[in-house]
Amino acid sequence: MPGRIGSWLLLATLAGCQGNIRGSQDGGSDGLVPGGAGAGMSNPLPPGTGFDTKSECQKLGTGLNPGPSPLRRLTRDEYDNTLAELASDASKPGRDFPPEARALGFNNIADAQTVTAVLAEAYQTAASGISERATAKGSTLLGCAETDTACVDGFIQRFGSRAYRRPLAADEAARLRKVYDWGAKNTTALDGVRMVIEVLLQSPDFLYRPELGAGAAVSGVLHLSSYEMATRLSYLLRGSMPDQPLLDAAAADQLKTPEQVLAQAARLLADARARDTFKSFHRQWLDLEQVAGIERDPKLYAGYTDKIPELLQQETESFIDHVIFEDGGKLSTLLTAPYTMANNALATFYGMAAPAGDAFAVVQTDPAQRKGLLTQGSLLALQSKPQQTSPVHRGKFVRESLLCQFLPPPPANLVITPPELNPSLTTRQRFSQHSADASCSGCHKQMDPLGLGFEHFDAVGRWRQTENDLPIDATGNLVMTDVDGDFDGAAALADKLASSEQVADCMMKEWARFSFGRSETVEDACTLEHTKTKFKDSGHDIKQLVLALTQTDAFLYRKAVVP
Amino acid sequence: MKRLSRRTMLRGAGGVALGLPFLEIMGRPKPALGQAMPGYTAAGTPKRFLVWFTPNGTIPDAWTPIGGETDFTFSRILKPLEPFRKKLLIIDGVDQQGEGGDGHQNGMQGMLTGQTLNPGAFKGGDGGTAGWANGISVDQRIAQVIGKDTKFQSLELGVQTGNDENNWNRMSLLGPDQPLPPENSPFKAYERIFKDFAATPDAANKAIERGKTVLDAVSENFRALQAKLGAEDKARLEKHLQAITEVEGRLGLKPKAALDSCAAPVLGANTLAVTKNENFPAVGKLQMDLMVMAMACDLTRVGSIMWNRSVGGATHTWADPTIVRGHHDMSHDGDTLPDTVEWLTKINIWYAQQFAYLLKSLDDIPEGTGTMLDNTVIFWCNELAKGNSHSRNDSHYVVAGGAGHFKMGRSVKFTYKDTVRSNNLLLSFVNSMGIPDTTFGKPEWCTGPLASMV
Repeated sequence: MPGRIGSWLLLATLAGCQGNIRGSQDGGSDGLVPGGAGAGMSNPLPPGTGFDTKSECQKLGTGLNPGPSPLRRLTRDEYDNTLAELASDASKPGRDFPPEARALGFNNIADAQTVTAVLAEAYQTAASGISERATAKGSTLLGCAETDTACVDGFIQRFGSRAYRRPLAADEAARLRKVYDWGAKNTTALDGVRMVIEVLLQSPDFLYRPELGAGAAVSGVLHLSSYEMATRLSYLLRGSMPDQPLLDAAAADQLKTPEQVLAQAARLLADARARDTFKSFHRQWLDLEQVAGIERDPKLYAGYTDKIPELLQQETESFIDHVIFEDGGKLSTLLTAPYTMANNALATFYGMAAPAGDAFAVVQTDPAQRKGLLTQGSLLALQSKPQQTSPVHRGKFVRESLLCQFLPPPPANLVITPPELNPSLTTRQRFSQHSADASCSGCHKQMDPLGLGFEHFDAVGRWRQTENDLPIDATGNLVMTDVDGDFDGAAALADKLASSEQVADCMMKEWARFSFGRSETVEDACTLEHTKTKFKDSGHDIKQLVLALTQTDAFLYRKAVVP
Repeated sequence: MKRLSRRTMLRGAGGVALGLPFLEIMGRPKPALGQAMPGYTAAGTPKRFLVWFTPNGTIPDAWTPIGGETDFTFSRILKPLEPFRKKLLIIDGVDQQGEGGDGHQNGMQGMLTGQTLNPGAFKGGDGGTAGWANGISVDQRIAQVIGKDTKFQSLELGVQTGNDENNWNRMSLLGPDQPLPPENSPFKAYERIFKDFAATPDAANKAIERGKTVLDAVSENFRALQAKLGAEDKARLEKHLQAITEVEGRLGLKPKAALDSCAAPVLGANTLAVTKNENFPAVGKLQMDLMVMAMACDLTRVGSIMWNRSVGGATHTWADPTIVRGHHDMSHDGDTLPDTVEWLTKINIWYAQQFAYLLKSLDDIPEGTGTMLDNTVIFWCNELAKGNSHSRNDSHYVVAGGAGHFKMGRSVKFTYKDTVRSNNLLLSFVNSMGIPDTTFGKPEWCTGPLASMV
């Protein structure tokens, strides 16, 4: 085994840190390079992360290429949202389900969704609670007598088709009726109704989003049925079951053409619910959920109370929401807006002009100091240590999350001694070892000079002119991107990143994974290439990016099922 | 051994009533003379298996006992275990197997499975991605056999293992790519384990029949949909269906060998913020109490307690108030930093104190002619040997209890040059439960049970 580790290291180091990192500009024009830091090793990349979308799309030719359509299960949030609409049950039982795998950073990647008895049991418990509450008022749920079998059949069809997001087949209804009959005979008729609900809520047609496709296959590719499309659109943009207009359109079979799909997508995007989807995407993409758990010693960071972390998270989430839905929705605005969102407590913590009260409002920033997402306390604190900033982690975050590049870890058998805290040095001085030592500099030149650009912000994201009474030097340098060069401070870095096609491509790729619930494959080359072009043509309008994704082969079609 | 008499079964030497003679109740063939049933000691007492995981490696110099196999002296970290000296088997230097992923992923997935990692989408610290282990973990293999008679085939409990699921915070697998999540909340665990514990038989019977009717219909719906889907999606649903079958099988199962000490534990009000760093010790204690009681009540015979997670960043101020950094962060520091080495040592000493508490809890419960501890095999493992090197070829393990199978009271040391693969150790655990398997994990990595353990 030692031998294996040794050779792996060599490969990773060479591939990773001597000018050939995955996603670097050395490769394809879109930042997706062939091979990369894992190919051919014991640690393969997910299928298809390394290819050039433009040339691969040309190879695919003119046919339809939907790629895989794995069976997707409702996430915990989707489950809760769905129940709130289906059964007017706002109890959010999904919060008690086991946590989801965060594969590729997201909780909705089909291949990573696993089921154990613990989850099956949680579904059972939730279904029992929901059905109990739904039937608590006796027959009001049915609108007729629960002992009347015609009434019950009507309920089964009505409730069941909303649960399955399509009309029930006769045999499906019959199976449910049999369950009711058992209850009516052995417990009570109302309990029979309750049992029907319990079955529906544990059935795969409810918990999953099965897609069989519709019509005749052309070269093995099918349209989705209008009901299936309504479900795809709805869970992408509403995070819940289809609303009535979607169900109506599905009933009229009017979700077949790209234009019909686009019209519904645009409608849904204008709905308040879409905001939650965008929130969920960004929360996962940027790991904002972690912000609430950032602990700091208030003796070191005066004013950092228990309340601050959640305010920091709220700042970034309301900022993103504001940019996308109130201020044009451009990626460049997200990265360079000369304002943030704050309430009185948070602005006071930052030392900014404070709005009155607890409500979050737009607060102008000094754009020479702070502009855009990357200069907000949430991300700055998240990529810091309890007692100090971490240029390494700040740099790594930009590399990985914004540029979709990945860096190998430090060599496994290297004894690592991070610089000790030293009250007579700045962080930059302490970290100079990384650039001095050849064994470190190969990798660290990609992180440290980038992360050091944020040095005007301390470990809780507050502006500082000095550190240990020494002046801050926040000059930095960017390599292996399409916007390489020197910069001074985070605001200048933000400007650079805002003009980077690589950053835009990275966001597109993240949205594609989130939308399709899977990693990309070579078959998706045209899906990605077309989306990329539309995103660029829109001036990198994030809402247009999402609309563009609904017009792709991956979204509009699926391969014919071979049972 | 002669056939178990009812008297033996009902009253062990310690004067403890043992419920009903479970072997008879289960209608199992009686063990032949001198032979034990799989999952039972020669005296007919149930065997148990418990995994105890702590993360991010240890400080080997402060861990490994000094001296010979039986005349060893405890080093600082394991010193709290001294009262249980005769019930311990300390094993250093096993070559923990695994292949693929970053060091932590590899360690976490290989530790209990002895398998390679499948391709997957979890980002490792190395920039690559990897998935789950390609096989069943040792606790689950054991649970397949000895967990059949209890309400829960196994129980996975955790202490702040994180609110997500990835190959850094799952170690038990039902099979390839089938990780089992630990329950991080003692309150939710209590609900799950002890719910219906006091249900009256009549009410229970009706509820059982009703529950089966519902789940039978659900299963039928699964099969109907499966028939329409492609192979991959069919397989997805098959795993779900198996989980439902397990839940359904649990309906109406009653403890067969609950001990006198069995009583639903009292947790107190559900006001503890279970994810808050400062509550880490309190949550851990509740989880240990729950596990011990679930086993004393014979609700399960296989379990695991996972402290934090691989790459876990708990700040162990309770181990030393001067600790301000997270565990994983510190574990990367070099050996030349005396402060960090001391802090990491203290963290591991603290874990040893918790382990001692668990051992004492089990040892305080009489069973048969000994204690519950004697009939249990507890495996303290770590995904890494050493945090800063991420090495796994010189792992540091403790086995406690022994279930009458292992030769205890010893310190066994290997070096990486011995290439003692962990698969052999894992196979020994399977065999210790009376399960006559001849290989475990990736077959190429397993040559037979580890001879020096018995």
